[in-house]
Amino acid sequence: MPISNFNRRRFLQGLGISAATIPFVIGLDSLYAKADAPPDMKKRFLFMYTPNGGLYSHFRLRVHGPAMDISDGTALADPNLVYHPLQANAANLMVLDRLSWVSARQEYQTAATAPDKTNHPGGHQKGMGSLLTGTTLQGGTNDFGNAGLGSGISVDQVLATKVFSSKKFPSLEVGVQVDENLTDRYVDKRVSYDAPIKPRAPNCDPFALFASLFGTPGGTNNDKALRTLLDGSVLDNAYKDFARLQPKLSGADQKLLQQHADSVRRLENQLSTVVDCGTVMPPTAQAGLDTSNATATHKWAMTPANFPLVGAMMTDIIVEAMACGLTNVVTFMWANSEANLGYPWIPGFDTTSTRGHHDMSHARDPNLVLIDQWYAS
Amino acid sequence: MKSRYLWISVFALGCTGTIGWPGGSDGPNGAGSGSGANNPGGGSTTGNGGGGSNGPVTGSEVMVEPSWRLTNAEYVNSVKDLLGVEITSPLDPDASAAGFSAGLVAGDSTVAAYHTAAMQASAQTAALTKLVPCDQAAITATPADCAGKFIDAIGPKAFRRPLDAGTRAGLLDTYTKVSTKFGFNAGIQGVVEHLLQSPYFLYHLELEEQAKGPGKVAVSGYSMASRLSYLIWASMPDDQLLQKAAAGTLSTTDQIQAEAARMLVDPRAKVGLRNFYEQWLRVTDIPLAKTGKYATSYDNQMQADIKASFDAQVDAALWSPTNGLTTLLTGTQAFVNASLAPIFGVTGVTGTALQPVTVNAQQRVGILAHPAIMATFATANGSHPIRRGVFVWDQIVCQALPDPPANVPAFPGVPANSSVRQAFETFTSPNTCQGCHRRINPVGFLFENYDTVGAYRTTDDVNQPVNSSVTIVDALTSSGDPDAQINGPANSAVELANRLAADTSISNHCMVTQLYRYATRRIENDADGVTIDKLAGTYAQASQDLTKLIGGLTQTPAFLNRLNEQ
Repeated sequence: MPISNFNRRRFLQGLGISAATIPFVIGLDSLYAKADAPPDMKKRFLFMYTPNGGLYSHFRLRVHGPAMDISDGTALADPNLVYHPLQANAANLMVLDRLSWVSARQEYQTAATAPDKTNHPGGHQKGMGSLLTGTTLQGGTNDFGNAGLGSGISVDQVLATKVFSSKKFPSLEVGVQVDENLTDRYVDKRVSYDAPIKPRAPNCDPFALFASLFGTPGGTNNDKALRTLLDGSVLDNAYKDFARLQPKLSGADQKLLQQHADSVRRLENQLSTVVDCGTVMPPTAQAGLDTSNATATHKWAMTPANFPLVGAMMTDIIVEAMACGLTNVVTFMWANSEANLGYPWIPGFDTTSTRGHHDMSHARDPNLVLIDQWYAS
Repeated sequence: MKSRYLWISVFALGCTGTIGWPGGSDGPNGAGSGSGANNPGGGSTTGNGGGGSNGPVTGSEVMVEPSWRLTNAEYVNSVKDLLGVEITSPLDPDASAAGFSAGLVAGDSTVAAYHTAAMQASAQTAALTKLVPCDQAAITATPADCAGKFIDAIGPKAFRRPLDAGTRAGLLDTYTKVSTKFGFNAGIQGVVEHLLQSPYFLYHLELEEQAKGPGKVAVSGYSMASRLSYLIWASMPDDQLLQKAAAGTLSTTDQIQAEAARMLVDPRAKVGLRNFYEQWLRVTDIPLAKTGKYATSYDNQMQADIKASFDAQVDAALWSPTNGLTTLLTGTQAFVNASLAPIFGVTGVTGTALQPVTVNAQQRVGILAHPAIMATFATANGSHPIRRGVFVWDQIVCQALPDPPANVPAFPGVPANSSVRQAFETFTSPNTCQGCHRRINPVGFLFENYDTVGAYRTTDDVNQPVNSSVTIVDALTSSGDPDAQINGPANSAVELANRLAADTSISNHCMVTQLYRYATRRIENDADGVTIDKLAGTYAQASQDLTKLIGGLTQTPAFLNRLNEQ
């Protein structure tokens, strides 16, 4: 189910606002209360993905007719519902149901219907390539490990490039322990796409993400001026190296290097855009973690036991970045679609189970409800 | 690596491992991007959108088209050799081709990571100061001259060929813009950041050969210097290579072989070949954590120790002047510290430093049961016989298995009073599964004697006795005959290792094949087969001396030529 559980209670608490929980496309109007908020709705896109689907029996709201207005929260009263933790925010919640994620089925296109006249088998991880692109997959060898990648731009990137390109960060791709092994089931690990088979990688290190958004904590004005001059001169001249090289290359190489050069130009533009976010507190490192050591912070962020803390840090950073106006478009992946994580930190979680999340989803494990509710809270 | 976690094959045509999936459409000829069966790394087609055009056209020349970007290991090694600076900031993950990492299309995240890494490098003022060929007085008197000298010294090294006028002017422009406001050192900082983000540094360019137009072109000079250095050192050419390139003495096969021989005794060769064997043996993603029994003892430090122990053991085996691969498969020397000793079943080791020890050869020999491999091919708290079996077939035997198809039910778990082995036997018993699993299972079950981190045991994860008596079937010799020596009854992973070592028609040939894929960045084609057979013969005749094998590799048509785009 392509349902984003955007509505984390923490998120709201961090903002000091009562409710803003529309799980698909949302207008975070109240985020701008401290600025000169114009009367019209602010347009923001935050897509949060959680892995392995959920138990539909606990997701589904059994409402119809006038009861489909769930704003008083009654419909979420059942403590077994995935959305129960959001009961207090029901007035701002819109639940989308009966969507069919056909592409996530095990075989979603056969030779008879596929544009390339070949079968597209493979597992449900393939749905990731279609989720925001609305396309079938292309490339790959039509098998499980190498099913190909999405064959179009994703909706977040349409918004980033067509509507919000003037933002310092037209979009952010954020992840919590998204598997970095791309040699197997690459499609499973990406949700955002620039173009066909050109996915965007999520940043999974909260310390690195913070530094790229708000700068490295500390530093004098002189340091900052030098950095600005360096970035401008270096990236402009590196871009010119690409341009100078182009006539010496074959057609295939020209195309390949042009994509690289375009990214250099975008980075240069991004770095030269100044947005003052005031004082933003960096994530608090656990004792013993050297936040100046990027290898260490990356490893820490990818260690399974730190999953909830990394997720909380990322949530805070996203809130700050949107509140300051650094970006209006965020895709936020909690792990990847077949992540087989355990969730021992959830109260009541059956830690004797030997199954990870993915195996649970196949086995309809009762722990799933707790996991989904944890994501919803 | 391949993670075939929980899926089994129902490939109705059997499991020959020599054919791809029916209907595979991965490029104009499919060779380079690999069909499922032949490409254990998943193929280059998914590699960041490189498409199917990376394959060779015909014959056995390397086609470097489109040009490859440095892999992350090559990038880190190159920066270290260029500046004496260790890059630790994370880079965008590599894509893969032919089962090995590859640098394909760069996107925003790639470029952002390079930018961060360049900043890390340029902040190492002390290291950079040493590289400026001027004393302080000269810097004060004529800073621009010194900057020019610095660019002339470091630029050609970074770009692995002479600077053309425009490129030199660009680097000097970066210096001038920054130094005008912030002084000489800041200008040098700018030049370094520029060098590290320039395509001349980041790509394997063969400009001189590419300029010669379509078809087969002999590679020499600067491009050959880079081919040699990235093959043997996984890093950039040194001064001597560049001097030979400039002098035109990197052209004949003798000249190339002599350079290779020099490079192989340089310490950088160990670093370079480590980049090969860590990928070949699939230990690039050793898990950072385990659950259950090892939830607390297995931490980041232990993961790092396991990696170091693995490297030490492989180095000691493969670089030995004789019996390299045999020692790798069957040697009894391991490298352990106090925290690894219990896993290896060794007592009396103290301290954090790794020490060479002799292991109990009844329980473990060689590298296959090393914790680096066992912990990788396992679940978070248990063994995984299927993944272990597939690993051996794909990487050690080179008779790769196709990926599991769609519509495979999930493994339901181990029922009460059943061993892990029995549960998998039942689960994979349908005929549709047996095409592949009759090969996978026996080999995988041999490793049931090793738990989720590779410690020896006699009861499995559900406390049932381990039964590691199996019959290995369906292995072929390298010429395709069905009488491979590794077939037949076996009782332990030790026995498997000994038999693999004895059957060099499989083990030698497979290692050579993997090295060839690594060097050419593609799956071999028929024409390559002849070359690989010859190389495997060279390795055997040289008593498994790795330096002779690499030397031979530099004499192959694939290494000596390139095929330009038609």
